[in-house]
Amino acid sequence: MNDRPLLLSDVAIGRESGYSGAKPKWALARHLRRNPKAMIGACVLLVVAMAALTAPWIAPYDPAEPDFADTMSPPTFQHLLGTDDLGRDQLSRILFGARVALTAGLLPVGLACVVGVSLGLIAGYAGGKIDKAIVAFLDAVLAFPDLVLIIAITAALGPNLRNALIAIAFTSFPGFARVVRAQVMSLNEQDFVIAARAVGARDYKIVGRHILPNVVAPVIVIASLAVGGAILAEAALSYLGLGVQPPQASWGQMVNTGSSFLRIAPWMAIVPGMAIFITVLATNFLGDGLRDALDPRLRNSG
Amino acid sequence: MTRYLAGKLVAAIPVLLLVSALVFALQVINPGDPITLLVPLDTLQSMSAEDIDRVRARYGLDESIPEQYGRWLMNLLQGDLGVSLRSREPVVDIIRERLPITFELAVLSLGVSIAVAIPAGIFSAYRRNSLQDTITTGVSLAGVSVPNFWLALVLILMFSVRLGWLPPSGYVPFRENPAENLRYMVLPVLTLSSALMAQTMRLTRSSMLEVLGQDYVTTARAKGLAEPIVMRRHALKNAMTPVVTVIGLQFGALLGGTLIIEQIFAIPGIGKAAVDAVFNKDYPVVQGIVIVAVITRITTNMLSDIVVAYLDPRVKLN
Repeated sequence: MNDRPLLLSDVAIGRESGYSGAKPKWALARHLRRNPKAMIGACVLLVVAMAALTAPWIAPYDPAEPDFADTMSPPTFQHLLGTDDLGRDQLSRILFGARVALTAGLLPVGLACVVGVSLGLIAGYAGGKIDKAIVAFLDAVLAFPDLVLIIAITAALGPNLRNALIAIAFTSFPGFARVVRAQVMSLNEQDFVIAARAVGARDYKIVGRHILPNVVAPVIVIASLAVGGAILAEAALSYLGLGVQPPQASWGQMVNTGSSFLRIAPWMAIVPGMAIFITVLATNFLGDGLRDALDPRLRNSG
Repeated sequence: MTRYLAGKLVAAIPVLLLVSALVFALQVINPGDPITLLVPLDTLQSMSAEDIDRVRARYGLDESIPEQYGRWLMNLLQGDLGVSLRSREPVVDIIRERLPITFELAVLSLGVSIAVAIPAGIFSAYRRNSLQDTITTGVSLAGVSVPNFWLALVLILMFSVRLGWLPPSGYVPFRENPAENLRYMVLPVLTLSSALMAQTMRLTRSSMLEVLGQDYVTTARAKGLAEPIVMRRHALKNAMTPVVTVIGLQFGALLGGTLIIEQIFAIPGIGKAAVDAVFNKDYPVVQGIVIVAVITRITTNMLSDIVVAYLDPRVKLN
């Protein structure tokens, strides 16, 4: 089995670990449960997601409401994480900022995933000229350093959150397309695909029934690792003032505001940066865990 | 080797054409009328329709988009990147003036990262699952997760504001005062190299682990070779191939990191020029710098391919 691509079904029946007692459905969860790093990551992300969902109810203050009598207050019992230069409550702004961060992590990656997987399937399955054209396009996009392209696209379309997310999606789809293409090309040689073709199954059926389910595993791994990168990219754009526009709160933009007051109110920049750091670290922990669980052969690929 | 390289170059031509179309597209997707970028709004309002048409014709904006692209590409191939809409300075001059500064920053960051990460990664693989290994893996995961603009601020807070050891921001040309130049470079280089270090360390460790499990390493040990020789001759050379590829990729991507870092540390390199141009809607400068970024990336990828082909002759055959 070393010569064929690892399939999700292998993991589901525990074939790669020699364990096959549990119901296949729960195999992935079992793998992750045994991985402390992945569990920590999942728990932290759950907390961030809850914070984002319930922000309007649990935030102690209105995140956009200035209080000029209490500006740049250090953390106190009234303001657990202090206030900013306009007297806005930092904790409330961080809770609302979680919504932006998670949107930035999930939406562009979702979009990139759909586009990238489709292109990868087409290129890998069709081969020939179509494959060549798609690969050239992917190489062209990959020739740009990510952040340079993201900033240039956002700036050209006009700086706001929607355009930032489009730009992030545009730089992430080639990663999906490349891996799916490679996986499809090796699946094309597998017995079950050749058999399906031999009995005269139509292309869309071969792709949909036999190939697509078997590219799910690597796609989940790439997606989980891309989320952290997307959150960092949005934070960087908002830091530069090209992402979320005021008065909406975003962690990157809060760090930027804080950077002007580093000497007198260091918590203003440190705390929201911490939030970015912890969230991205958690997604990378979970991504690493998923990779170990879904594809043991990738464990050594850094 | 020459044939291998020539093949790579020919294969790159269609990709480069697509790249140029993407860069040109940056000015087309701009939702506004490009003339508003060329002429200040109050002047525009006082101009007659014929005057506006004349300005359009002068900048070639009356042509169709494919015609504009063709002319732009021809100029590009002759090394003409246009002039800045702000300062009217040729974009090529702006780049020539600022690129060396960014280059210094990039080379120093990459150098520091390699000097720390490769030994740490090797050691970590050698003492697998030791405390030092756990720390290395943990630190490297943190290194790729930390937002670099925030890390920069934390370092400024620690080393400039609290300890007062290093200047918080600014730049002194190397030719004026090399020692001061380096003092100003310490914090930006630390910031940029942390993420690179994390990547290189992880990759060196895993690549080394894989090689150490190979039969030829066991054979080398079994025939009684001293451990340092096994490591250097047998393990290292093979383990370094993927690392070289990634270091090439890192250098190509560094310009992205310098965009923000130069902004924070007020270093007048190409990254700061790009961000300033973005805010001034100075798209010829943005395009010019994006092109430099792409050329740097493609060149470094090719260089690392050459090194890889040298380290691993099997690569050439494929």
